[in-house]
Amino acid sequence: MTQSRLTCKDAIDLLADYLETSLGPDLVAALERHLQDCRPCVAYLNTYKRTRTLAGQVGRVEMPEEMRRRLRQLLLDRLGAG
Amino acid sequence: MDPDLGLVTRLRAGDPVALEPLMDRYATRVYRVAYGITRSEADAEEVVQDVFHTLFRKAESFEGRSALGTWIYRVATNAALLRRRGKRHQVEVMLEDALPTFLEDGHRAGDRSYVLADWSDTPEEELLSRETRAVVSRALDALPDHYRAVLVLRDVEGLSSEEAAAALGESVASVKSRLHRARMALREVLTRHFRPVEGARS
Repeated sequence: MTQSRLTCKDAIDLLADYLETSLGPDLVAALERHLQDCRPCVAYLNTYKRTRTLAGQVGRVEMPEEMRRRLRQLLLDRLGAG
Repeated sequence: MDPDLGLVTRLRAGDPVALEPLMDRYATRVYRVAYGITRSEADAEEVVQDVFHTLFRKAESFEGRSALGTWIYRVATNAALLRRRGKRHQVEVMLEDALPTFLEDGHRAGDRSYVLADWSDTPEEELLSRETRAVVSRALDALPDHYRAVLVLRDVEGLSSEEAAAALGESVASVKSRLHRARMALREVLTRHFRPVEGARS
């Protein structure tokens, strides 16, 4: 796989490390060469990246205020008891 | 020493002033991890309580050995995964179904419009609409617990693979591999969701 021609499967396997910039320079070069000629893999990379940020956006829930109040009270009671 | 450990020591000594900064710093993070893994507000609340109770009780389990943040993520992740035990539904088939498939020559299988589908420039309002959130939410529900846990720690909380591995007590390699598969599975669900209507050929 360190040779210059990657298949789409090879390319997709590398995407997580590529986005984390933890790929060696040879693999980065090979992947970028592949992406220049492969529209499906470009589409895959774009949607993979957007999936990653979307999961983060959807997952960023806040603790409900009422729950926070309950937790604070519980802990304060415990402090008082201790 | 982690400066937050000083707050924990004061909290244990009965100083209520130490509670606010600790809650500010950690309550929401713990809740997000717990909710992300358990997918239940009630379970997540119990996990948050467990974590803060453990903070009072078990000085020896973290003091001096790791940063408080690392320790808290580990306790929260474990507590949340424990709550999921025995609650697994009929879902784990979904992951294999949702991974990309390849032809013998290494190209992706599927018709052209599918492998070229790129919804990444969909407007933010649509991506964050109630409908799309529900799609993402269902896909998250359907992930196996250990995959969802990795995704939450990495892509929601923004931990590194090393930090997520420490929270899960697993190897970095296994965290990376599960993260990639979880993202691919979600991507597939979203691609099916945004896919142009059959027959509307471009």
